Amino acid sequence: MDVDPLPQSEISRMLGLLEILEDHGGREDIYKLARELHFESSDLVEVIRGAELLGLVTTPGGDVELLEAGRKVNAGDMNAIKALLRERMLQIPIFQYFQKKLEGEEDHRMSRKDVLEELSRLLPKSNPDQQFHALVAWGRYAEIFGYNRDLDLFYLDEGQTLE
Amino acid sequence: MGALLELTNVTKAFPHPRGLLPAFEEVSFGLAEGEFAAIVGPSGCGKSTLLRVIHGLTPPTSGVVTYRGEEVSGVNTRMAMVFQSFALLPWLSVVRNVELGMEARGVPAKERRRKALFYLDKVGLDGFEEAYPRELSGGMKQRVGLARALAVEPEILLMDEPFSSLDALTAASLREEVVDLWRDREIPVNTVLMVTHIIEEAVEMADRILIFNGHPGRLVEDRPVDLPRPRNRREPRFSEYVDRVFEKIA
Repeated sequence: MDVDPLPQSEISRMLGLLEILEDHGGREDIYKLARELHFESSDLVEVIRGAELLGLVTTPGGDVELLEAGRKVNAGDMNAIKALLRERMLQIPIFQYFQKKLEGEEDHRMSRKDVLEELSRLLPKSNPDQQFHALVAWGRYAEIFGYNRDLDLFYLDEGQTLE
Repeated sequence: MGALLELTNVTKAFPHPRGLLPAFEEVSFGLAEGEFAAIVGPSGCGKSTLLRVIHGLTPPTSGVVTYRGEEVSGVNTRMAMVFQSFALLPWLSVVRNVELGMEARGVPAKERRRKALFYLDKVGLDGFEEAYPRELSGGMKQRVGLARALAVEPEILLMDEPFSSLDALTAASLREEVVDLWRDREIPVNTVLMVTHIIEEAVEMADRILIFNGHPGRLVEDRPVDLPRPRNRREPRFSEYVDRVFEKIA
């Protein structure tokens, strides 16, 4: 399975990007936007890459443009946003991989160490800790994965926490 | 819509080697149920101190604060505060941080958990219950702070520069969510008083702006914001409002 690394894009930042693009009429020059927001261009590009991976924006030329799914996120309530992001994330190979992997595990759980080993094997050029952080942060928001630090368990979110 | 909060000639001063040094002086205004008001002013005009006086965390030096017609003495438990610094306890999980505010007010354990989960869901943190603050981004931490304040179901939600520690993108997403929460009929909290030094933030979110200026701070204007929602910062009328507030502060 071909797996790409996840960009280090915080969900809150991506949601903010969509709001701001809406205010800008749906499209803006990336460099101009970075300057307006007092962001380093490279940091903004990382946020845009995340939103692009989720099919919320596209990047024609040096611009970033809101897609229909991005407009739906802006207009939706919390549950609608989560449902849309969940559907999008489950199309990303790394999410599909760990969803399948966890389904095959007893109790649908894995230790962090095992997840890091998998990530190192799948993405030898990426930092496994950063990838784990992104996987957990995105997965928690979309209620796909959970992680319990006390028990050191990464698990499929089936509406239950391990607390 | 009845008046909830009333300030009459309120002054707060602090001891200083040369006598009392006022943070703000002679402040009078009322806040009605259902309002979203913003206190705007430059740094050092006593905005945050004013919020602490309103909450009852510190008494006024002179003047009177009344709540539902009664003079306030001590912490007003019908208000809850969202802080700039999030003020989360790092050794407690997200759900425990949210429960903490209710615990202090004597809410039974089962009810605490139910409400914590309800408000975490409302701020988009369903799925983060067992995370610890250090696992979260600034935006997610402030969502926890928001859930903790909402969970005690205050009659007035106080917010002290709630987006100042966040980057521009995160702040944009949270501003939108706070306005949505204020308008959400499933949530009993419908009155908000926010302190900010960012004029655009006040014009984007509030229906009324209390403009402060000077050292010590004084209320120089009480201005309604009559813009339809959602508000777009790039529309000419938005800029007109910002300019008018700016003129009073500059």
